[in-house]
Amino acid sequence: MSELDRLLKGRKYISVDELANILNVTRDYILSKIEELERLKLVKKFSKEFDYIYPGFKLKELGSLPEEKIFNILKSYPGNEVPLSELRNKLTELDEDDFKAGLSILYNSKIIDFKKIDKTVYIKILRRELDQEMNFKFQFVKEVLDKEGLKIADLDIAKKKLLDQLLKRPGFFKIRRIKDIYIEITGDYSKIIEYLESKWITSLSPTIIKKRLWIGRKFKPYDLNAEVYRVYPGRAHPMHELIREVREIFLALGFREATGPLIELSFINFDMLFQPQDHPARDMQDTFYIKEPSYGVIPYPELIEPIKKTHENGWITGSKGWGYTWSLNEAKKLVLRTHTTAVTVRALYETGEKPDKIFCIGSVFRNETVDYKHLVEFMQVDGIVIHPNANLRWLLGIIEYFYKRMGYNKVKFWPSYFPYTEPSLQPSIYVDKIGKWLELGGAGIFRPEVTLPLGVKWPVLAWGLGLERLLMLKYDLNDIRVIYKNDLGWLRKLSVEKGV
Amino acid sequence: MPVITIEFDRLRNYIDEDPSEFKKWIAWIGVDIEDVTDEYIKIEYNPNRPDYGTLIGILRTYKGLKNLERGIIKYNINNSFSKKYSVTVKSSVKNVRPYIATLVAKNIHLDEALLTELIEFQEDLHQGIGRKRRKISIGLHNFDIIKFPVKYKTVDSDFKFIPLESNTEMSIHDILAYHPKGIEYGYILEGVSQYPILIDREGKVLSFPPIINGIDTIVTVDTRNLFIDVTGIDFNLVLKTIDILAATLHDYGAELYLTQINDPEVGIYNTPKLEYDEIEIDIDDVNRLLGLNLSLNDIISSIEASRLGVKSVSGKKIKVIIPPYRIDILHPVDIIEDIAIGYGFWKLKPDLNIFFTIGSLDTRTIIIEEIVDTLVGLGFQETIHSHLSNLDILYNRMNFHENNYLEVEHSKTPSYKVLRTWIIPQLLESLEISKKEEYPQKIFEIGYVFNKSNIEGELHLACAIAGPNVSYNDIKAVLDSIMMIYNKKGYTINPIKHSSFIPGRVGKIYYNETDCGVIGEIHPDVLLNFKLEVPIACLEIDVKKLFNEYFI
Repeated sequence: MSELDRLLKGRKYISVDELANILNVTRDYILSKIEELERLKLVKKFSKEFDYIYPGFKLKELGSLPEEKIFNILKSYPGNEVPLSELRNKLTELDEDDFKAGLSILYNSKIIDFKKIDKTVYIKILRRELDQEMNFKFQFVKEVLDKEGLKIADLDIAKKKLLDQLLKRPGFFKIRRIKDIYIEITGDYSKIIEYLESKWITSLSPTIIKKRLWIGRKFKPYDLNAEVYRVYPGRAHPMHELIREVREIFLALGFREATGPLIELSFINFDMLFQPQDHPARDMQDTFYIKEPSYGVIPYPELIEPIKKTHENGWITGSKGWGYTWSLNEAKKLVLRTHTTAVTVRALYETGEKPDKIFCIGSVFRNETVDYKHLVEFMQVDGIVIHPNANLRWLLGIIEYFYKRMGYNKVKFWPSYFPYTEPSLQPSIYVDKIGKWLELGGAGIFRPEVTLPLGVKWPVLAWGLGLERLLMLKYDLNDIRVIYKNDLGWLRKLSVEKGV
Repeated sequence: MPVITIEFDRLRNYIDEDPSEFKKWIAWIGVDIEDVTDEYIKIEYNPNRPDYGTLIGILRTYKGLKNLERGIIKYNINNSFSKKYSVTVKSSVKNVRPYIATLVAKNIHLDEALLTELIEFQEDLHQGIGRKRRKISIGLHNFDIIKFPVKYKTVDSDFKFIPLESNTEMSIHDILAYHPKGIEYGYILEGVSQYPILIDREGKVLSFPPIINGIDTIVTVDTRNLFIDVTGIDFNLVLKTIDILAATLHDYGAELYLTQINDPEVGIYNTPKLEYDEIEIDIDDVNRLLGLNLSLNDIISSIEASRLGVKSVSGKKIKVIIPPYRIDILHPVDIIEDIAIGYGFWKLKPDLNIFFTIGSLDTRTIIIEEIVDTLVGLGFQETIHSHLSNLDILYNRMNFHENNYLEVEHSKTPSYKVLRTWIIPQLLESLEISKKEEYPQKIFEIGYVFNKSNIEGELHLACAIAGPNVSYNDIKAVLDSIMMIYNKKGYTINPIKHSSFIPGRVGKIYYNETDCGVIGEIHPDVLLNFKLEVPIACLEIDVKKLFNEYFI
């Protein structure tokens, strides 16, 4: 059992000084070790204030009390009587008061006596050994000098008494109140011993650096592959990261962003896009209608007549129309927008016949039964291009560029159908990962039944797609619900994927 | 979208070509391949082309595209018996299901495959253009059983006959109440006291539209001659539907016979009409919209490949003939799309040499991105939840109630019924899901919330910190940090009572004397409602109120 072992055994608190003492190292060294032990949660550091006795400036200068200095000269003096002036000359470092005080103490202790012959004063040496009391005092003074600070609370009663006397002598002793550092043992105590006894520097600490304690010592090598604790960074949601990628592509192509409300009028979400009012997509089975208030105010009252007529008989658009009686009431119904085309068609009307490129990314809603393939809400991107020369091949150019930038280099275009575009087409991309062509998104040129009531005679290219599919491809997801479950188990461990 | 399955063995009877060719080219007519094996191909077609609901319908365009047949098909119809094959319409049907059109198709070879296809085709028409049988419904009958003239009239609910899928007589009332088709489509006749019925001279019930046919005229593989009725509420669509059916049966080799309808309001008319429509297009419009430079001949050739016809050309104008089975041509642009299909979509070359514009972001996006960056920098994981939630999450579990929330009608998934009024409950939901993950957990979301006085939505930022040592201080530190970064000085937190939070540890955030949000420590009762066993501190800020300088 080592000394340290014995010291720590059964104790919960121990002072740093005690430790320094027993290990015969400096207090600073111990403090550096403690920082490390604290980090390992093996100990807890705390401090308490104590009074310490320190040698005063006089004691430091003289190296002992005046009486001891005097005694030491007398002790080895050849005769028994010394002329006072001779003694004084041998102790020039003492000032007169201290010299006198020293003599008076020796006199009171019956070590010397005074004798006057003619006009000369002699000191008569009575004893050449110290009594116990005197010896005790001189030992204590030596201790104070050697230790550079003794904790008063730790002194025994005799020393405390002695100290009371000594403190009456100004300049010889001083009291300083200082913080004493303790540790509370909170962890495995054999580990603490192991750390304390090792001469390695395990972890570098501010104290080691400041006091240059590393010099002449070795750093303990670490197991560089050891398991460490986990940290999780703050991150944007993977869908948000994908949106940023998509947005960046649109900006590169010179598109400006538009935003619009999530709760939208049927008039804008459907009627402005030439979706007949009995179209299945407008069923409550597919679209979320707001219960109360169920109706909103049409922001473009001037469009009501043109749109009504376009639906009914084609108005002046050159179309036959759908041939039914259009209902304003139906158009006033509030829905959760079913596509971001609601935003781009608003932007189209507000922009009018002016060359422009506009995009929108946002949430859209469908009344679905949620399962691994379907959500009630998903993210969609929509873009439109307004220009007198806009044509189908431009549309292909933009979409092809988009998918190439997303990392899909093979893109094909198939004829398709959407109620508000003609021609309509569907892009499909080749996904290397799964070795398959996938249809993704839809596109077309807005029908004149859509643009002419808005006062736009130019062709308007439009395209859109849902982003969840792209995200699922990116992260190999089989279940769409994972995306918005926000399970930290998934979100924290996602790796950064750029493109596919 | 409707799907048709084509067996390659059957395909071989109609086209002299290896099925691999069909697989390779069919999508270029504008249909989707849903599935393909060595035996069959499943094709999904768009609702604007109901004529693609049969193999023969698809083959029309396909053969055009492959240059095997071109231009329009001439439909011959025998009118010798039109007076005999007649339907008398009683005026009582005008209040229920006012219109009818019929046809007779003879000498058709109905094998198992064709019969199945026709029944599926009928169903696709019901669902698509028929809008679940409301607008039109179709009855197929064995012609040979029927004694003309047929009557289209109404009956009471106790009228009885044996419907298909039943062995016994059922009253109209019972059919609507118990017959699977009555249960499914009975809503169309809701509030009606007289029911439409199609009945022959001898009292045999052909059908009870739009619900079910009678058993007497059932069509089987042995049926050689067909009588078809289409009834509905949209006269034009009724006529178009009988045309589509007539063209289909004609192309399958049947002989078509004209029938006559004696209608008390419309008068006497014959169906199927099988009339060809015309529409004029301009060559320049075609080239401008497609971004091509096609010659007149190229365009004519593309029109014919799409199985349309050219009646005449004058200057840059082409008069295009539209066959009777097409219901999707409303405007010259519809012809232009057909020209693109006839020309071949695969030949269209993408062109990115387009005009210059400067891209820009919406100011809302800019502020949202800044806030997201700030929170991510503070170590928060972003979450995205649906704007739709439910009362249990938003209020019950939060021990908090209000009633100005917005609800949607008839949600198919009950957990998505109410538009979120605040985001914190959804964060707690995600923390519940993530409770096996290491703590501390820090999550946030920026998004819109709604209520009755705010249907345009309010942009909110919500953050939550969860962990064994978490307290109010942790979220206050986050708020301080946000306020410091955005230079918002002199805000205060005024204590409030809020039953979702611990009393004395919840307050409103006031900045510039405006209530900008709420901050506090979630009440343990609420935590347990979410099965959470660690303290959670959170805040929710109205972004527009706090960052109003960005929203000018």
